This record gives sequence, C-alpha cells and structure tokens, in this order.
Amino acid sequence: MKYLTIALAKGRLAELSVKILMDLGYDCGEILEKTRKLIFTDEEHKLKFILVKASDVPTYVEYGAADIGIVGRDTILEEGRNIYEMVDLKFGKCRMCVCGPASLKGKLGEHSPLRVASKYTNIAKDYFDSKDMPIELIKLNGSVELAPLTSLSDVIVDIVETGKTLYENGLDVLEEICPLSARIIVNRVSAKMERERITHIVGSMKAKVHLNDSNN
Amino acid sequence: MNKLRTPAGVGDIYGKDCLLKAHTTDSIREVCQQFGYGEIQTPAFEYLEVFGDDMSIPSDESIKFIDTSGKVLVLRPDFTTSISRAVASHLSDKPLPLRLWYSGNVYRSGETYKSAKKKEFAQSGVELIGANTPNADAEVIALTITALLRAGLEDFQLELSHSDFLQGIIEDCKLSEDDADTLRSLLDKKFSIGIEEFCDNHAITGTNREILSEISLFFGDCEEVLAKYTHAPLNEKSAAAIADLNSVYNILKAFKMEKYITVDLGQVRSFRYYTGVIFRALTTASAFPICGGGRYNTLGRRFDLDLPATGVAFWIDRISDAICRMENKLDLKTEADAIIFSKEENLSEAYHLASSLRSKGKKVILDVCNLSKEEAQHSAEIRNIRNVYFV
Repeated sequence: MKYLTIALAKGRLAELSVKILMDLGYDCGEILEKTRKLIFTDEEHKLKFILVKASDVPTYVEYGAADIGIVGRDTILEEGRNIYEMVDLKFGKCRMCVCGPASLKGKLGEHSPLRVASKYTNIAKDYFDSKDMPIELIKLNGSVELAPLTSLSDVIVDIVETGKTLYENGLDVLEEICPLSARIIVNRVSAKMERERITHIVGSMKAKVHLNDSNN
Repeated sequence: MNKLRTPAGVGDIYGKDCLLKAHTTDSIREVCQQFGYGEIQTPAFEYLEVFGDDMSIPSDESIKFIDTSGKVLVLRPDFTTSISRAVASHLSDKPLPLRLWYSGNVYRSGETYKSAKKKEFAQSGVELIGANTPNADAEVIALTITALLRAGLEDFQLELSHSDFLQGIIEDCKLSEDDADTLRSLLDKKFSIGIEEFCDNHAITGTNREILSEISLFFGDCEEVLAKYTHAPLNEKSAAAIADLNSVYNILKAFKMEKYITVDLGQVRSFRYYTGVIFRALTTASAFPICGGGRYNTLGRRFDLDLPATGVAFWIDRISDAICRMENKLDLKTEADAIIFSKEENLSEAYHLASSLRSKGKKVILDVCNLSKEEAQHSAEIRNIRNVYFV
C-alpha cells in the first residue's frame, strides 16, 4: 500500500488537527513534541505527516506532494490553487475583514482609488474587483494595522479574530469579506485514485468535528 | 540581458527527455493510425476571432501578438477549435465521419495557469467529426485507453461525466449565467459548504438540492453512480445525460474496458464548448489530468459547420512524466551503438561499414574529426559508446 501524505500548516492549526487525528487513532502525537523533524510516519495506517508553512500547504496539495492538507480558508483563498476543498473543520474560526478608522465606515467608495494594505493581496483584489471599486494595493508582510495609522493606506484587509489588536489601535471593522476556519483540502487526482482511503480519513475527521461541534 | 536565456514558460529539451517524449508521441500516433485516423496539421498561430468568443479558452489565457497590418494573432491555445475551422474550410464535403489526429504544441498563459508556469505544452489527440452516437464517444474513449496502455501506463482511471447533467439542473433551477458559473466553480472545487450556502441563497430544493449536496462526494464506481441516477426523478436534460452515459458505459463494457472507467458527475467541463459525454484520464503518477476530451456538437457552428463531434487531447509532457516516475522505467538509451574512426584513405570503406550497420537498425556515428587512435578511444569512452571500429 502506498503512503498517503497529509500536510499540516505549522502552528496552532497543526496542534488542533493532531488532537483530532489522535482521537481517531492515528499515530501522530510526536508532532506535538517540539522537535526539528518535518516528516512523521504512522506505519500502521501508512500515513506520512509533513509540517509546512501555512501558505505552502495548498501548493504541496496541488502538486500531489501531499494528498491531503489542513489549512485555513484564508490561505486557500489567497493562494487560489487548483484543489478540492472538502471539509470545514470548524476550528480556527475568524473573519477576513476590511478594517480602518471608524470614520470611514460606509464611505469607502468616496476614495478613488482606495489605498488598501494587506498580506492578502489576492483576496483584497478579488473583493474590491467584485464591488467594482478601483484600489491601489500595497503588499505588507506583518503588523498591517500600522498602515492606516501611518497614512501608508486608507484601509487594510486582514484576519480579525477577537478584534482586540484593532480596537487597541483605534481601528474598526468596516466590512466583512468572509468567515474563515480550518479546512481539509485534497489533491484532485488523489481524491480519485485513492478514493476509499481518502474518503475514510476525510469522512471520519468531518464526523469527529461535527460531533465536537454539537457537543459544545 | 543574458543571451542564453529563454523567455519564462518555455525551454529546451534534449537527450533522454526527447526520447521519452518521442516514445509517448509515437505510441499515441501508432494507436491513432491503427484506429484509422488520418493526420491533420494546422498553423501554430491564427486570427484571434477563431478562438475569440466565450466558447473556448478565455482570451486572457492565450498569447497574442499583432501582425504587420494590425490584426491580432493568437498562438494556438487549443487544437480542437483550429481543427473545426480547418474542417469547415476544406473538409466539409469529405465522407463522414472524419477521423483526424494531430500532434503539436499549444500555448497558454494568464492567471488561471499561474500554478502551471509552463506556457508551451505538447499535445496529441484525435477528433471524430460527423457522428453523434454513443459508439463514437466510446470509440474515442477506447482509443484513449489503448494509447495510454501502449505508452506504458497501467494504473490510470478514465473518468466520465456529462456536461448536460449539471446543465439540466442549472436550467431546472433557472439560474442566471453568472450564478451558473459560480455553482460550477463550487462544484469544481467540491466545496460542499459553499454548495449548501449557494442552495440556501438561491432557494434550491427537492431533487436538485439533494443531487447538488451529494454529488461532490458521490463519485467513483460507474455502475453504482449510474444505477442511482437511472431511476432518480430527474429533469429531462439530466435524465438524457444519464441515459447517454449508460449507453457509452455499456459499449465500453462490451469492449472489456470497464476496469479503467470511473465516473464523477460533479466533474465540470473544462471547455465551454463541451455538450455531451466528457472525460479525463488520471494516474497516481501525475498530479494533473493526463488527457481530457468530450463531445462538442455546437463548436463548429461558429464556422458555419453544423456537425456533431467528439475528441480527446493527450498532455504529452504529463504522460511522459508519469511514465518516467513508474518503477519499471523504460530503457531509453541516448548513446549511439557504435562509432567508426577511419584513416582518410579508408573513408569509403568506413562509410560502407556504417551503412551496413545502420541498415541493421544500429545507431552509428562516423567520426568527422580525423582523430588519432588515442583521441578516438577517449572520445568513444566519454560518449559511453561500447563498439568502436577503426578502419
């Protein structure tokens, strides 16, 4: 039997995914020990787990280097890869939002072009394109909240979890783009060629999170 | 700029890669010819209008340039459309059905292909024009399977679908063209949560809702899937699509090819011009489909040619790649079998020796550099050629 490879986005999503996988009887607890290893193997189920940077998970899955991936929807939307997005794991919930000073609420259309700073340039571009709003896009790699505070941009497009960082910096959510959470993605060919094993893993994870969800 | 660089998306291939590519192309060509198909060649670039409207490749995915009179030309992004044009202009009075095969490059760029940065793709394929029977669909699929086997692949699936199955549901739900595109892209990603939301937002209920909800995970075994929908209360168009698939599947069974056949009714047509049974071939050794094809009965109308047709395109590079990744790799030898060095006065004899070896199918190099015996031996050694002759 061929190994199936599951790519996990390093960080909190990987930890939460590992817990679910362990509950389902997969041997991957070693991932939680902070080692430098990047590949972990469950010999019994012929599974390999790889830890990769979140934004690389869709790439590994698209090219078939991993058959299955667990990653946030923000990454899936931003990377726009050709993959199957099969299951909502319902954890890692947050929102993709347009944020800025509260005074801009409902007035985004008045700036033409609107200056938008974001780590998520594709999501930002697609969103404003869909609203037919011309924008000037500025790519940033971190501390995006600084952009409106330093007049680098009018607004930002970023993930909002609790909104604490925003409010502490005098910013507000102006528009919600979409809700986000962790998703299972699957390589298009693996989904067909290894249908039974993949459907089993994906299906049992789905059942598990939906059970957890309804118990909460 | 470095003079040795090639533009992004294109490159040189040589040696073993060329042999492998030739092996794949030759295998497919042989099978096409054995099925009675004749070759057609079309130009590498055409007027934009040939591909221009929304029926084939989106305009931003093709590579365009302007000729001296200001007309926009496009590097062929797709063979099928070119061949339809060629048939309309030269071949429409030939006895039908026409069986044509082709081999060459297609060119694509643009955002949709950003993940596949290549811009030049080798393709071979066939078009069967002027027959609207399930037998014609089955013939092209059987040819596809035979060609993949001939090329040396074993572990692959030929996945069927039918563009009218979804189209029937879309029409039954009275969706606008934009909404239909949204739904197709959700189904294409098997994004079940998105599909449920879409159904909620567009008040899709009943059988249509049930099918849309389950279809993204209900694929694979052809008999199981077709059996389920054969007796389902479907709209007329979707029901006809299932009947069509049943007919094609039964013919393929008669051909004893059912073990290669699977089905995914959620498979979304890759070209807007598909109108009936569509299919693609998948193998574990390639992360992308290695062939794609289907029926396109209305494409010809753009060229005032009203002929039903079906066909398939083979992605040569992906198939070669898949063959290369298989364990029992082909034995592709790049070196010549023999090299002959001769003294100037013996050149005629040397040439005759070369000819006689070549006529026995050997690959023979006749030295042209007047090397000394020592240099000659070294030259043969670094080229890894075992048989060395001195004349």
